[in-house]
Amino acid sequence: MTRPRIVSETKRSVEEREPPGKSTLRAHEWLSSSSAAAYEEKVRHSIPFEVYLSYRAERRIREHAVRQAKDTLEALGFLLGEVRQWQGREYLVILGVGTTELRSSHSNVRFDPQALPKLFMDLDGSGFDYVIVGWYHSHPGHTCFLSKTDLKTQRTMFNQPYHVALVIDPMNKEIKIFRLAGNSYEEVPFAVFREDQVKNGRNGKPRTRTLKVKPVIPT
Amino acid sequence: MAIRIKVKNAETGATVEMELESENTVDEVIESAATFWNKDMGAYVLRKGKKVLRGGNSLVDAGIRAEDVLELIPDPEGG
Repeated sequence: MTRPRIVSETKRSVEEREPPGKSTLRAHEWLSSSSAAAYEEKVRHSIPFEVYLSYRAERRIREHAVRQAKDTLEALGFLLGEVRQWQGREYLVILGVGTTELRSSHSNVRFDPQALPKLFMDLDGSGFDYVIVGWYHSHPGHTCFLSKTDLKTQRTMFNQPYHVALVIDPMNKEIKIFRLAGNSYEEVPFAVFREDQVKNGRNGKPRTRTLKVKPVIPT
Repeated sequence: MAIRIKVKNAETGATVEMELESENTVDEVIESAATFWNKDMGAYVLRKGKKVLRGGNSLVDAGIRAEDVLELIPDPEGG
């Protein structure tokens, strides 16, 4: 019996699109003073953010983390979004989240394997052609950082340049977004944006994208 | 008889077209896609619609048919 053979790969193209405008942005209320200063610096000098988090996604993440924190349990989910570019710079837009029932404690969290169909339903219900651009989880009372386990997850599954990890601590009211940087990780400043004021394509309909097919030469 | 399916990488949006036989297993599909995209196959699950496809099952047993689009989904752990 022969093994499966990959015949071709179709890569998703990166859409050229202006980032959310200044009037649609706000800083998250739970930013630390250093994170808030980084946000203000970008806004003051009109420097585009590398990550934009929609109001809707932010609310779902925060409410999930707060709900789980009542029992001192961690929350977990996927960040669903798109990678876009504008004037030669790539940026990330997080438009939704996907989650399900969890196997969770105060210091560890995974999806419940029995509840994966519900996760898939959440993904399919996102309403757009999503990419899992990262993941979120909570540290109830432990502040925001990437633990060894978190770093392993990030390196194993979310190692594209645009992939991020959002960590939220609903007890200390803190939120941070991180990405890999060399052997460690770094915080990425982000802005929360209102989707209703983000321009879509013609007639307000979502823009379509083209796909580039790259043939694979069998070895 | 060889069939062709598509496997989508949920983390990048890329899709591969894969040629396989009905006796191939779900694990072999995951392994091929994970190897192609430099991933650790143990950290992923494969889905067809809302159904999780189990590793040792053959494509026939898993209900996979020609032209199906499967999706490789990460299974993260937070600490």
